[in-house]
Amino acid sequence: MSNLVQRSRLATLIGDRWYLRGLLGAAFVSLLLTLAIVWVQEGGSATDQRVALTFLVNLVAVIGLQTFMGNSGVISFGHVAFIGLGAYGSALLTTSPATKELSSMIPNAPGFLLHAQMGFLPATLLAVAFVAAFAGLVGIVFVRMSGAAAAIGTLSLLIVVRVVLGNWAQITRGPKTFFGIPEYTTVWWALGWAVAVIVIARLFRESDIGLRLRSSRTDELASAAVGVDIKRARWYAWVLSAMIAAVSGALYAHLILAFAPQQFYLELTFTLIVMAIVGGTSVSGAVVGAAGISVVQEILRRGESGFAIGPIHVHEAFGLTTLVLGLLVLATVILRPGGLLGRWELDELLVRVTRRWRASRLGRSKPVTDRIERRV
Amino acid sequence: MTEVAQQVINWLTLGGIYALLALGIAMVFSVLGLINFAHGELVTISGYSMVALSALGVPWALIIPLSIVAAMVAAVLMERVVFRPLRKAPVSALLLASLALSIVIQNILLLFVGARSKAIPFPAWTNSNFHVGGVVVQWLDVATWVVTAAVLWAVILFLKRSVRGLALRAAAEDFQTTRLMGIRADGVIRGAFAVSGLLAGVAAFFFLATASLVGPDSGFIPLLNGFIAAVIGGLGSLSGAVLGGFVLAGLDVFFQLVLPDSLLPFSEAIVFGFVILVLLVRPNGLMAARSVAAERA
Repeated sequence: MSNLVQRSRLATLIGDRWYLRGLLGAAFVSLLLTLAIVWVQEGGSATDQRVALTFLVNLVAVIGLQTFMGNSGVISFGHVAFIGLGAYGSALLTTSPATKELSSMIPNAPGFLLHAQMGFLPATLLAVAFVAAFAGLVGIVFVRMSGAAAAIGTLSLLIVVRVVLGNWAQITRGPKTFFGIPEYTTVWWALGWAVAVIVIARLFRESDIGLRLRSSRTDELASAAVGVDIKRARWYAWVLSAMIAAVSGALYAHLILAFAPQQFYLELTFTLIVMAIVGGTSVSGAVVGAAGISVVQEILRRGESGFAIGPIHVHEAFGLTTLVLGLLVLATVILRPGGLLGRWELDELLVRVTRRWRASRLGRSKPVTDRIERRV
Repeated sequence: MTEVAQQVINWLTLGGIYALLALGIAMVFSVLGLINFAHGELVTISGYSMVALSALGVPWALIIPLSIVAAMVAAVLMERVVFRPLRKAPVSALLLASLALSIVIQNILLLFVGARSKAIPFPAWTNSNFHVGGVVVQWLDVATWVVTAAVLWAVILFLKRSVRGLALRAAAEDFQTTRLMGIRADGVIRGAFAVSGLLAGVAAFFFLATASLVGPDSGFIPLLNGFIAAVIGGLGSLSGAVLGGFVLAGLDVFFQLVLPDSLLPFSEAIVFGFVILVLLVRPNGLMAARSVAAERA
């Protein structure tokens, strides 16, 4: 390939080192993200800052979803269960014992949960470890499913976890709101986690296992035929994505400070899936999707106070936001099935554009590598 | 003894409704490989058309067929507008499209009709009952059995005796080969959606009659139960779906009967745990072998 188009010095340096490509790509995307967040922090209103914070927490969740769905091509409706478990785990470990011992809270919880009071980071990491163990166990079942079975299976997982969280009153306060969670999620915590998660997800995508998994996404039979252990690759992705989802759960918990099990159910599942679908299957796609949908949501929310279509006057347009999200998914699936970015990362698109530009400067209308890559 | 008889009555009624829903879902799945998340919305649409028609003063003798037609029209429209452009798309795209469609319909109803559930003024006989020995039988139960049996029988007759039905069954087995035999794909798929709409419309009457209410999210519970029943029966199998409906209803009634009160809230979790297990151990359904044989007979 290097004979056909002159390579840049950077491309020569990276060569076949997948981790360098991953790190540089993740750094590029993280830089854009950080600049955007700093810009909002400096110039935005309090509402804008709140929106940016919610976006970052959603972003972590979407990257979790992307790590499994984007790489494997298997649908999961179950990841919000991991978010819920992460949120409850971290909430239980950080809320002050005095609050938990209130007779209206969870006075009958096991002692170690009742007396625990940790900082943000250790609580998050413990919750993530717990979710990893749980996901690793149930993952043995789910890596065998794809297509329709995966959809119903993971939906069943979501329902099972929701029913258990909603009825295990001794620990979760049942269907009632769990309150008194300390406010730890600042924009910098959220940004830090988002960047960390972008790096991890990108490295996984570029890694050996990630590559195998993506090959199984393109053609399950062919990749199995060349010796890819699809179940194993899926299992790693499943556990890693559940852990990332649990991080976002902890961030949610310390952002909204009081929640009930129904907050980790179908609505959140749909929102996250929309973000993951609209952006594309890459890590950058998750970032672009989460950012785009967050902006659309906020614009609609501000317009949701009321409008009129002909004779029908709608006082409070409940449902307008979700309606538009649903239409966006339909439009994406029908008109641009891969999502906005398709399977490309932002840095890969940038490289393609510069390569095309270099080639045109050299007098070739279309670089050969570009055509080869397209066929892959 | 009377307790057992009472539970058997509950089981048959519930099983009939689940069977209708599951058969509708399996019908579309077997032809397109699509799990239609918008199937529940057919029930909702049917319910809202009952509300609208009864507000206009239409007698129930007309409301029932018209509400079924509404569900059929909605099902055929879904196919034409959303699923036909996706004919060549992968399964996951179809799945997401149907999920999005379901959300879109729910939120259109939420926006333009309102979040509050509407009361459906069902005719008085649906709420009356009679006694046999010590057992209370709702007239609605009897109607459910008779109509479910009649509809299932009619659908079976349609599938076995008519050319279109034969084409549908053939397409369910092997869509590509069926097309090679000169059967038009559009007609078969439209037919599958029309029948699934019919089944959803019939199920809607019996499902909604118990609560006499319909809201934007009324379709979710029938959808879930239809899914589970279809999974238990083996997703592509039509007769399996009917059996799955009765198995699921049996599980429901059984759990209500044997689980202690403290565990009752978890019965849903147990059922869905069971579904995951079925998907894992017998991905073709519990009665896979039997149902294939039954369909060939």
